[in-house]
Amino acid sequence: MAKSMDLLQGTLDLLILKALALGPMHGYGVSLRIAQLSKAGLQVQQGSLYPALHRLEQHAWIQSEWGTSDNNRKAKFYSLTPAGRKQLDVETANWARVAEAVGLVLGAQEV
Amino acid sequence: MKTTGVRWIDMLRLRWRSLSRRNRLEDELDDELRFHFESLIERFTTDGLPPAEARRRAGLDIGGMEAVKENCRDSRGVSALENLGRDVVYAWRAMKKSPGFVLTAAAAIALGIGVNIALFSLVYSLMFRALPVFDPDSFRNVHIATFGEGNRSGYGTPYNVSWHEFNYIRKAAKTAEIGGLAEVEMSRKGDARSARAQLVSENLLSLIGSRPVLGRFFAPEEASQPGSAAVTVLSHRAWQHWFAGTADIVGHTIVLNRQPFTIVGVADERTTGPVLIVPDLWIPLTMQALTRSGEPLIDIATSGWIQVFARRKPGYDDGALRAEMQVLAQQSLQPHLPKRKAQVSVESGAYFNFPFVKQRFKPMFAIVTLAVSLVLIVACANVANMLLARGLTRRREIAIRLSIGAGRARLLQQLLTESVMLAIVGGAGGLFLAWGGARLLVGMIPAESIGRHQLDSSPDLIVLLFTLGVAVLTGLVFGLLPALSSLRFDLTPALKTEGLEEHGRGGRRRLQNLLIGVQVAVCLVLLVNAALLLRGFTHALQLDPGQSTRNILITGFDLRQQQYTAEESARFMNTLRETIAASPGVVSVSNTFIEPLHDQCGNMARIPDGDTAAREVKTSCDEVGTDFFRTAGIRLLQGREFTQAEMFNTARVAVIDERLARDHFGSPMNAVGAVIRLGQRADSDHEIVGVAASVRSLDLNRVAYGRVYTPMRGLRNNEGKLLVAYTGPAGDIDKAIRAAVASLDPNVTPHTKRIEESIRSALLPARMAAAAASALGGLALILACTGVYGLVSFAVSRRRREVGIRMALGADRVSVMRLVVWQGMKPVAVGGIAGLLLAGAAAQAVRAMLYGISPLDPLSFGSTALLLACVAAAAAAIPARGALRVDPAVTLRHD
Repeated sequence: MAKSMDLLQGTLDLLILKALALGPMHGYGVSLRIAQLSKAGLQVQQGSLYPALHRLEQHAWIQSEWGTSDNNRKAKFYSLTPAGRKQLDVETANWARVAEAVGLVLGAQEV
Repeated sequence: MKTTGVRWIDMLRLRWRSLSRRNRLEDELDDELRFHFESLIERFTTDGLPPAEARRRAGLDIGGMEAVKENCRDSRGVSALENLGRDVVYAWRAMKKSPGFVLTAAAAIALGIGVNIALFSLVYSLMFRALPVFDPDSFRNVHIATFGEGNRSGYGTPYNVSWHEFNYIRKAAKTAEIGGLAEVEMSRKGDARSARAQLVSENLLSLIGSRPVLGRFFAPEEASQPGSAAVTVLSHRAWQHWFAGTADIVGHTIVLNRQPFTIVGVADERTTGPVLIVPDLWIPLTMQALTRSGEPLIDIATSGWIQVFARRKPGYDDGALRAEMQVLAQQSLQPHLPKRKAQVSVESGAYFNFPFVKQRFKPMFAIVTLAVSLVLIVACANVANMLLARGLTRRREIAIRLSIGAGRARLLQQLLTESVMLAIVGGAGGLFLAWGGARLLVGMIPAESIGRHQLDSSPDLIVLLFTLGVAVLTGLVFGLLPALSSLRFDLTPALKTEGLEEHGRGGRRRLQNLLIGVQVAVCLVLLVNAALLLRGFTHALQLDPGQSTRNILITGFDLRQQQYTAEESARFMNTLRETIAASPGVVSVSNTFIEPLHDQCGNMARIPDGDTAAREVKTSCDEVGTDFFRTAGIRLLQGREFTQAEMFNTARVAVIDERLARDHFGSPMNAVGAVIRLGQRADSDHEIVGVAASVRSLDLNRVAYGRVYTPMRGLRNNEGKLLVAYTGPAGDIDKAIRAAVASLDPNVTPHTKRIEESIRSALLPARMAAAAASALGGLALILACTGVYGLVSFAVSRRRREVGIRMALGADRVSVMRLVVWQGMKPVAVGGIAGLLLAGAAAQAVRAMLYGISPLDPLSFGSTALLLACVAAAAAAIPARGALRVDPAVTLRHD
């Protein structure tokens, strides 16, 4: 298994928001979804996943309710709020800018 | 905008949920993480791992479950409030564990806070608490001060208005309905002062929201013209006490000041009037002429005697009311005092919110506030010391908490929470003390001198809030230093053993000594001032007052309420004088207008200077009968007394006192034969026939003016006093006076007192100040001494080993004792010196009440310092004996 990368805190928030933008999901599902989408390139540590979920809920970017999982068990489902959707847009734009900037720096040719 | 609003509400909701349903949230967190854990196991099992291995892998994957939970809790962000809750619970548990400490500390705080609350609630009830009237929010006191040219006389406060002014203002007022009131004493069944009445405008009772339980209140025509309608409304209490609650009382008459009044109604039980003194009955303002003799005040446009109240009408605020009153008050002066200026203030109804009261009592209030704050400071220093000592015994606990990762800020918050809770417990105790104390203080005011009052000093929301505020502040003040000190130390030695605490000890000890020093210094300031006031008071009793202070009876009677004419009262007095003079044991009898040693009469006199110019001199005045100087025991220095003939003819003669003679005539000799003008015109020139020794007034607010005596012809305003010099038992003379009065007019009740009582009442303010200062000083002394006691017993328990070594090395008991006691006495000595210096400065503030004793009186300072030193030494010696019981063999083996 690939060694998991350390994620910048803001990045983890962005990933969670994006994962939840695809539909409501419980914490375990969120970690699976991120792993899946990144083709197992990103493994979210559980130790940071749940605090992040609670923090995002605190900011009212996501909300939670108890529901039933695929395997018919009680699970806490998170979903994006309208404010969270806006935040996702903002952070996506930010990320794009940062990525482009970092790319420019790394792509500079030696003269 | 909207989203932030929603976010804010969501946040609040979540925080609330996390606080109120903490347990449920914890369960939810458990469930959530367990679901994750089990889902992982399931996945690993599906991947083909054996169950045990799947479990292990899942556990590894998820990391420390508790750490995750703590992080989740942190990200919910409720810590501050939640922590406070936990701190309170923790502090409560800690307090329950050491009830002895809590009790001692809380008692000290209760004393300190109690005196502050007592003062606060007293001042608050007098000056700010809403009046007992219906809807006090729209009920206002209107204070109309006037100044400038033109003579204006008055009764009661300077804010009272005349009948003419009152009617003008009342009729023109649009922003409020205006009511008026004047307090008077009347006679019922011939007993002077037996009924307290309020002269009122006909609307006043309904204005304060009163309702009749029987009959009705006054009709407008019953209070429209001077002299109209001898009708009265009884208070509920008078109805019950005087008429046993007879149901058909309406229509009956009651005789007041020898005038029958028809009872038209009875007010309900709640009606106690909008002033401090509760009346027995109400009569219309227009019956004023009956309440005192002389020219009726109601006829004099320049005489203010009516207190003004306003009930604001809906739609107007205080600003509008004040503006209108300012205009109307000015206009009301126009007919009779056109050059005088009115100055109106409108205030929420309270008993004693007059502007002059606020001004005059400000310095006194500042002194008293300072004194009670000082007691609180002593209490704070005292408890801070207890906490310091306790901080050492809790050092291990704190060290453990620090070492397992508690933040120092969190611990500080924890310790402060404990001290604030301690202060709140003390504050609650203080509330009870204050309630009792305020009642005690109010009880010290002689009831007969002011009548039945309705001062409500029971705690209400404002007082509770004040207490809470002071308690929290107190807790922070006394908690901060000990808390900081107990957090500032090295962990390692503290964890190892409790006994080894030499580390950082110097700082802690300095702090403890400083706190003792503060207590002693503040305590000395209070005690020295108490001693000075006591000395001043006893000194005042021994002063040569310039007249006899023994074997004199003073008899007063209020002839105003008997409807005597001036001639009748003069005849009454003369016959009485002769009858009493003939009684056995009576040395001489005379009359006086003012009570001896009081100073209640002031006048402007003019002393002709050369031919035309006249110097104006403020003088005090008295009207006296024949034999006055002999009866009162005042020496005549030059000239003569008034003759019997001068009492009945119109000779303009005067006797002045030595002060006036020396200040304005050079010497008593020069004064005799000179002229002094006691009015505006030449026909008020009086020839000075004698000079008498100066008499000292004992009133506190006295300004020493020279005095002018004139013959007493008839009775001014039917008021006057009989002065009887006697030998033998006073009781016999009193009986003779009673018999003589009764034989002349059985309706007149004489009020006789001995001159000693008169002196005591004049000194009442000084006595109350001395008593209050002694009480506060005593409290501070007790607190400071428990502080010294605590410090020394603490030191003894901490220095057992050192004492053991010293004794093992051959130190004798005396030197050990000296060592330990000195440790307690050193801060006392330093604090004492600082206290004496401070007390010297503070004593200047009470100079007025010292009757000539120097504010730096060495006797007061010396005796107080000695007292404090002795008591503190005793407080140090008692616990120090513990050091002598140290057995070197035991203490040395201990380590």
